[in-house]
Amino acid sequence: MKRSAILEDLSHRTPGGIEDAAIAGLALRGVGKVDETLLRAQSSAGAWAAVPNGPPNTYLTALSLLALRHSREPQEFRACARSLQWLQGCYPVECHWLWKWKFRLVDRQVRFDPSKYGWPWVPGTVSWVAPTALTIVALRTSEIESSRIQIAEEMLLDRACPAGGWNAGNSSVFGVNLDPHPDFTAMALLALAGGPHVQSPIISSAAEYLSMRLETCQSAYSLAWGSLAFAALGDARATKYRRRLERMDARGTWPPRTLGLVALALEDPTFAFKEFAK
Amino acid sequence: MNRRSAVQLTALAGTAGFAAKFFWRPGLQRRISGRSKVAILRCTDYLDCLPAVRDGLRLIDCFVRSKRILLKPNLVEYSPMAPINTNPFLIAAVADALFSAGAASVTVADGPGHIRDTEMLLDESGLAEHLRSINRVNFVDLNFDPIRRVAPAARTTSLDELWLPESILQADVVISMPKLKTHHWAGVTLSLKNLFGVVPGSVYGWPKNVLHWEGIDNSIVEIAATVPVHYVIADGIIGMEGNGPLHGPARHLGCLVFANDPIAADATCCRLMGIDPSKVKHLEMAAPLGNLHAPRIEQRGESLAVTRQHFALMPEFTGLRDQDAL
Repeated sequence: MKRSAILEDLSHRTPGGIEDAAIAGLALRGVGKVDETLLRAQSSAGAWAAVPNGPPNTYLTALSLLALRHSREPQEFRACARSLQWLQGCYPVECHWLWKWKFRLVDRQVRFDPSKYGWPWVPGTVSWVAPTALTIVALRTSEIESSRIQIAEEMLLDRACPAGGWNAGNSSVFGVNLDPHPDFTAMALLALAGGPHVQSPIISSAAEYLSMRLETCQSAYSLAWGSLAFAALGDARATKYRRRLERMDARGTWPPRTLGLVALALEDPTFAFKEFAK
Repeated sequence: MNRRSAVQLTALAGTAGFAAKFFWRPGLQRRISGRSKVAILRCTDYLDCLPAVRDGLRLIDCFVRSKRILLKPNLVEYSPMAPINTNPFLIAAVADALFSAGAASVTVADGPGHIRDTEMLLDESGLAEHLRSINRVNFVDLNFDPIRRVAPAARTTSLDELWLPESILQADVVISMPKLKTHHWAGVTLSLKNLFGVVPGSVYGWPKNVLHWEGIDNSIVEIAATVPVHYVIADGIIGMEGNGPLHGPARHLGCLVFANDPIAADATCCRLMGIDPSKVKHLEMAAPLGNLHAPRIEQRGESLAVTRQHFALMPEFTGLRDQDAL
């Protein structure tokens, strides 16, 4: 399956939501203009939600920011600045001293260190891996220097599964270790690849898990995330997953977000998030 | 009116508004008149469950002719070692039986709480292959379905709105297909807890952490009161006990449970698991929606007493044990 065919297909699809629009925007940068729906859907506070007037969503805000950042259209700089401000002001509940102590003293069924926090999916909840990872990438791409990036990286390291990789959030509940998932693992690796912990054994064991898991995985969505993560790590295994993606041809059934991710993974060299000056 | 009175009146109105928001609860609207029909059918083999499915649908007078049906199984994540999900053989058999009964269309739909890659889950659990084999059934990922804002019906949470998938709201008949499992937060996960899967991850995230913060029991009741479930077909051939819904051991119960009322279905499943349903908080809270108590349930098929097994419970939930059944 050729990347050009995917882009052609993607350019004719209607995005099903903000995630579709943002990933398609990234994949089509330089070919077509970032979908106007992204700019229209941003709230006055700077966030994006899955639906107009829905709860602001950190994951979607980080993804949309990345799409706008890479579009390099001058009118989008203001939208980026507002979303950066919103992301930096969005805190998970475990930041509050009351919840911090509650998690330390009362809620002990879930193992995690509440002093290490990232970003929640929606405000009013705790940190999770996907929104934290994407927000780290978005802030770093915008060359934001913030202690929150460092704390969020530590949060990801704290939440890593003992056997390698990441689940949606925590690594252990009721004393039982949770299984990692390939997409969340890939997102966390993308976030940590650009930081100071890249030599950590947690990264290498996560990469081992991801590589092993993708051997039997037939899903283009997870394979594409995996390929992007290995490329960010400078790991030659990225090529292997690119080749598998090239051999797949089911794009008619894929949603735009999957098509966009596959197109990014098939770029030569594989797509990497750039860094832009503020 | 002088300034003092105006301030007093404003303060009074504010307090009343605050109290109304946090303490006023509309009564749950009863969904069934008279007694509920529940059927327990013995079935020990997924490969041969179609006859039991047909009998079960008949015993509860399930009417689906010309209706658009949405089947909501329990898809969480896949492990070859644990019976986590509603079995795909059973889902396929139900779809087959519904078409035979005259259903206009059958859609299988779920929005897994921890997995964003539903394609991978469908593939690895075998459900994708089963659905392909039926040919006429499509799958909708409720995490990414078009959504609509609806008013929560129970007001057991502080949520002013619930965003729900169009596929659920537009179906003529919704059938909840849980697997009989104990649950480390809610005590049990049956047809009501299964409804967490209709809340879209695209809005609330993976997992749907907003619901946890609102209180799991409160959220289960909120969704159950807002989303109409017409029938239940529960997978009790192999259930899960102990540290469910992911890490408990398998329990071979060898039955399927059919009902025309989710409250009666869950009450019966609890009794089959050796659990007193009136001690399960969300069931006790949701009881006004249907029939929780045994005299209000018309029991058909196998005897409950003969089929019952005592599922292992986590220490936090030993208080749920049905003492009369011991």
